[in-house]
Amino acid sequence: MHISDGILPVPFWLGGYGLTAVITAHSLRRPEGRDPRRQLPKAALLTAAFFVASSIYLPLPPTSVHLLLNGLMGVMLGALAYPAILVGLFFQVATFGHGGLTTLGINAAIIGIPALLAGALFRVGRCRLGIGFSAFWAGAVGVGLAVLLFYAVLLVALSGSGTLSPEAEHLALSSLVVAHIPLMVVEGMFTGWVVLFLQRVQPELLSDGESLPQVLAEPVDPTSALPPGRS
Amino acid sequence: MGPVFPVKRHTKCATADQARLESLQPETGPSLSAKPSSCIYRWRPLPKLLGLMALIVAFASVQRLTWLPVIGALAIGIWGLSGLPWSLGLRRLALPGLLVSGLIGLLPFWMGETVIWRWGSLVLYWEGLEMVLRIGARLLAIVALNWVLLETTPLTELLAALRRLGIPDLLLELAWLTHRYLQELGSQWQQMQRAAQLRGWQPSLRQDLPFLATLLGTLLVRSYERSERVYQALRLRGCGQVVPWVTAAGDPTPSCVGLSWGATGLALGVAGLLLRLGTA
Repeated sequence: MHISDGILPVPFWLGGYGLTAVITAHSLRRPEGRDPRRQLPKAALLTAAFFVASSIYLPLPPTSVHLLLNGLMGVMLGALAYPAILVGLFFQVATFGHGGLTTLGINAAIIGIPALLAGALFRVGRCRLGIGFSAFWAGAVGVGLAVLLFYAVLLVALSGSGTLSPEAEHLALSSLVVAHIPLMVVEGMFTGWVVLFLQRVQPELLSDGESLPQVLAEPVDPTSALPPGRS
Repeated sequence: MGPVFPVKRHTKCATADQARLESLQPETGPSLSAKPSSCIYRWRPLPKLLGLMALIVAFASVQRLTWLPVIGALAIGIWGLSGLPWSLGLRRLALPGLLVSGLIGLLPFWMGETVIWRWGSLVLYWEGLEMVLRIGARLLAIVALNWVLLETTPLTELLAALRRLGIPDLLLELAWLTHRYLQELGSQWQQMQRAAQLRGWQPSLRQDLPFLATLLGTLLVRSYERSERVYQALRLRGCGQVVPWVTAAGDPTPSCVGLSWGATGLALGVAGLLLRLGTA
């Protein structure tokens, strides 16, 4: 689900960087009374997990697929999911060669915007649908929207620089999206299981920074790190 | 529960990714395969970033077919100057993979109006072929420059250069922390995988999914509290700054800095020329 370098025309990837800059700046701005730095360890941890999980291939006959986890990131990180995905994609370029430096912005938009929507969907739906169902839908919608955006960007870019009939575009887009429905289900189930597990074992990981343990909300006192008698 | 982590059995690609994951070094960033004596390695990080990014933008903008060999030659020349092994280049160029090979295989038969060859219902179009040539050449050239940049610049220096370009500290701290956690998570993942493999569980999608979900959940829970402690410790040591911002390694003599900016000027000049002549 990464667009490589050299495929998109310049306005597309420049636009992707512009969009990513705006959304990242918005995500990193300091909300009233909340320091986004406190969320950094969780965001970095999840980014690393996102990166590690991208190396997992699941058999989905006749092929194998890898997990995106953008819905899970939206559920766990809220607005910080976008910068976390940006960083995760950078490491995927730097380590695996998936995607590219020019297309980093548009790839972040393709995966990050659905993550934000999935997070919002989870928060709205958790009271009405229950945590498991809303997590399932967040995971499925996250990957479904990402697939839709990915192929839409690709088809618009290709048809803009060549000759591609609207019928062929429509057929390609709809068949590719339909082909990804099993992946949406897999990702939704996976997200649901992870969220239910975390809800049971460590619910503050699902708190989106609103109810972090009090100890983390307090400023760091340097003397508290010293052993007794050394202060 | 006795499941096994299924990565290694599925695809060559998965195995390659896993091997790359295992080779992550937290302190140095992407592996440094370049000879430290090469001029690209000694190019200061900020001017190098600017120069190579300008060339990448110019390469991505080239439309005229006659200029494609030029960008290919430039990329090969820069790779040669970097001192990186050619075998590494071939391996890395194979990575962008599936999407591009799909496009290269499909586009000439799918897109265009000018028929240049027909065999039954199989029709080869000039416009599609032209686009494939453009995509392929630009991809190879840009990927080569990407790897030159990432292989010859340690992560901390790259982050410091990005900081000087105005990228927010919070984003860079996130990148740096992620890089620190990557190795820990990677090694924990490997341990869990090995433990599960020893139990002899056979992979299948029906059994993999719940197992992998539990595995990832366990990994997150195990790492979360530790990550908080590490973060607080880092902040204690760094007076609020998480990233140890560094200057580039080696002695930044005025001549070295001057040469670096000279090389960047040259790269910007070439990029300007390509943007002027190579675009349609």
